[in-house]
Amino acid sequence: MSFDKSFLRQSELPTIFCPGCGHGVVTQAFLRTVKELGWDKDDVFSVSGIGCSARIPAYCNTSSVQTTHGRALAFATGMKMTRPEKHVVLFLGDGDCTAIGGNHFLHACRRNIDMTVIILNNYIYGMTGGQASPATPHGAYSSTSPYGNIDEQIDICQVAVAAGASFVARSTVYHAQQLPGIMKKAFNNHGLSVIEVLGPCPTGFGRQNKFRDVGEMYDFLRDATVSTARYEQLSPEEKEQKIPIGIFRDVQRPEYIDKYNAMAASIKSRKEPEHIECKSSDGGQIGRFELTFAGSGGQGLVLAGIILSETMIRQGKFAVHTQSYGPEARGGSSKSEVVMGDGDIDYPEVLNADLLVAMTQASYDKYRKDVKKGGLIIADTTYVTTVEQEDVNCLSIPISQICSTDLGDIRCANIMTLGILAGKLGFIEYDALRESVLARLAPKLHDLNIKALEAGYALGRGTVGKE
Amino acid sequence: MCNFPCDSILDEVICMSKERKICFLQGNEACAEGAIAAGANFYAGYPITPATEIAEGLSRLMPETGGKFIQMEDELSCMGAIIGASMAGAKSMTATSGPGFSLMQENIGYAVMTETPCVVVDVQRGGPSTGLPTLPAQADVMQARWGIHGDHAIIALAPASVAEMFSMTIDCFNLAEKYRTPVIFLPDAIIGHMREKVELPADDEIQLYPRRKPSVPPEDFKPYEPCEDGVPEMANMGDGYRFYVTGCVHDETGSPKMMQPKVSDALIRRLEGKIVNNRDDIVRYDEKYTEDAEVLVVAYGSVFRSAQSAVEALRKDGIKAGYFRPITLWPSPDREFLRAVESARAVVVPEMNLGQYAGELARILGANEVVRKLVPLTKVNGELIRPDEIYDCVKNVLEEA
Repeated sequence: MSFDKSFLRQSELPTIFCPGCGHGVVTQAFLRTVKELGWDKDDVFSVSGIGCSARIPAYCNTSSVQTTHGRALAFATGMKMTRPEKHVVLFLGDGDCTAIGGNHFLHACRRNIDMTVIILNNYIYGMTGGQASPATPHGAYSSTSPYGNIDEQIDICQVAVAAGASFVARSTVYHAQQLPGIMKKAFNNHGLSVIEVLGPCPTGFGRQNKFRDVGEMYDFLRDATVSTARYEQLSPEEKEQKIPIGIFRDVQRPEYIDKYNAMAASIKSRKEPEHIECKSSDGGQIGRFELTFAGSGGQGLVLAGIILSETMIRQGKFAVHTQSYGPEARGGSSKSEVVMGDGDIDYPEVLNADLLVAMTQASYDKYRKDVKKGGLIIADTTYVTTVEQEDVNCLSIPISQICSTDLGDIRCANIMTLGILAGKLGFIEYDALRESVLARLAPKLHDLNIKALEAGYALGRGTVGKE
Repeated sequence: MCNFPCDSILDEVICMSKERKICFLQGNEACAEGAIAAGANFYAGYPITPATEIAEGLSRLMPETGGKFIQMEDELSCMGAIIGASMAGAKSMTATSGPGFSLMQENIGYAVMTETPCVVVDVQRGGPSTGLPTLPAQADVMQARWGIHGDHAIIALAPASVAEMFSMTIDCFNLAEKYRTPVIFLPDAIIGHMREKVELPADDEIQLYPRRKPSVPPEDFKPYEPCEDGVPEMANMGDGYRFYVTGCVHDETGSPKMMQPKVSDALIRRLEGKIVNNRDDIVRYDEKYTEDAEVLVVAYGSVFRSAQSAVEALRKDGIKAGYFRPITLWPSPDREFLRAVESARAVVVPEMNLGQYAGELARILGANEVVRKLVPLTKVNGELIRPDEIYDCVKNVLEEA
């Protein structure tokens, strides 16, 4: 079967390939397969990286893209996800695919996106003049292994199988007649297909490895290869000398974009950002009021800061919340700051705190000096055992302990603290705070936390705790 | 909101509310919402502090709004995937921080060379290397400008509020489409992680710049033939316009032409020129009290908020200070800065790096400029520059001047 000449981009011909190069054979097999399958030119995306094989898309009259070295699979992933109805075919070299692009190759196989990767393995970096690639055989000579290659050769097909590609096959340009059949199977596979095609690079590999001419390189491809079926019958010693060709894997596996679409279809609605109903401000001015919650990760201080800020916004005020934390996912120091004001707030962090809530001894020790003269420290004496008062006011309450003993759950200490703040500071409206707590917490947590809020409010208003 | 001069407006904006909304959002959340409002429908991401919330937000929002989200294996592939998606017709974005931004550079260069619109968010943290993963810096200003190899111009915007994390994300997409270029969005960890009151616009208030699709049939189409403004029209892959795209120097048909000096020269000059020559349309800035300022404070990003605070305090105390805020760090608002600085005896440049933008301002002022003192106020300890530090610096400069 011939191919459709209109599938060649005439303006880019002749090719840059050397006499004897196998890349033309693969290109022809591709074009023959495309004709047999009846693909439309507009439905084919041919994608490549860098190297001699990367020129193949230029010669195909398709939507053709030569990307950066090793990254073709990443580009193709974006293309295929955007236009899943198109046929995406990649032409990669052995170095391009397995060295610089090795990570992308693994993950493309793992995802099983419906694309076909044709790897033109000629054992060498050809375009740059014959340097060793991961596919260069052990002992072979190249311009960067002048004393023989001490590195081991990668088995691309075994890697592809292990990484999860659903169709994996190997052939050679000597077996040109078989290539369209394998390509057809690969193109029809609904998943990531890998075809490794061994071929000669007479210029980069042959010259340096005692192949007298291209014919000898083709003889090698004929003699060194056996079918996968025959290969299995060979002894381990015989296997050392042979390269299996044929299909290594041909299975059905869920395809990535299908799974994505199914997941998207299961989503019922777009969750929009919550609108906050703002009352117009009651006119009372608060100026700039700075508050720091300090403690350890897991005490809910960030959430407390967010709820307090939203309360101020409900009241028609402004608030900025910032946070800082260490590298620990749990535990470690945690700081949550709220700056409140009557209008837009410029500097977003606490400079001289009007109020510090200290939930651990370490945070008390670290931040108490940042509280302004006449400011207030609320110390959770469950953890803050040493309180030194100088020119600030201090309210000592065993908040976590009260939560634990009276409410049975230490985790609502942050909300109890907010209640204390509302009780203590006249400008935080209890109803707005309650609304903010309900809006931020899951319904199953409402009962407990409203109890904590109420109890805290009473604590803040009353004289419980020693001041 | 930044006003974007749009030539035409898309009919449909997906998934924005019909009404304005008051929300309390984190900067990174607002960026994700802004991307959706801009019509973004492809996001590729890789986790990194302090940018992760953008990926988290869009992993939810993309499937909710008909777009695609993918978590890639690294930042190199994120950049590749968003370019591929954009070529195939998507509006695409990725977000990262310093180390990931370094990995993206090669493919950002590819997007410049192939003129592929996309948005890259770099929520800056302290560097070099792993640096200060959770703490803010403005240390990628020059990497945004010159991170890729080869001559080029770039567009980079620095937001200073959560509201701008929303509005400028939209602006970035519009600029990317209008000028067919990657646009770098440069918040810092303060702006990315802080939460603030935001008024989200209603959907009919959002203006979007659409893809510049071909105005001629495929047989007459040259993929890199520039329009009057220097920007070529863009055919999406698979829409019947078949051509070859390469990162090699190419002629107007897209064909690689490496041995033709005229082709190379024309292409590289056009790629830079399409940004530089349209700088009046691209440049965004803000200023106050510049008409009579004796000291001009130039600040951007989160530090701009400190500068605002300091300048207001200085004015209250009778000191003639003013501020100038570059919003597009690149291209720099050079002419606007030169006009704003006219009355000033000194320029104070607070930034969370060792004077990266101060260097650019010195370049703009020129070697012959001896009248004015240029004073960098630098901080690289992971802490935001405070208003009092700027206040004191301005006072000292005035006393010395």
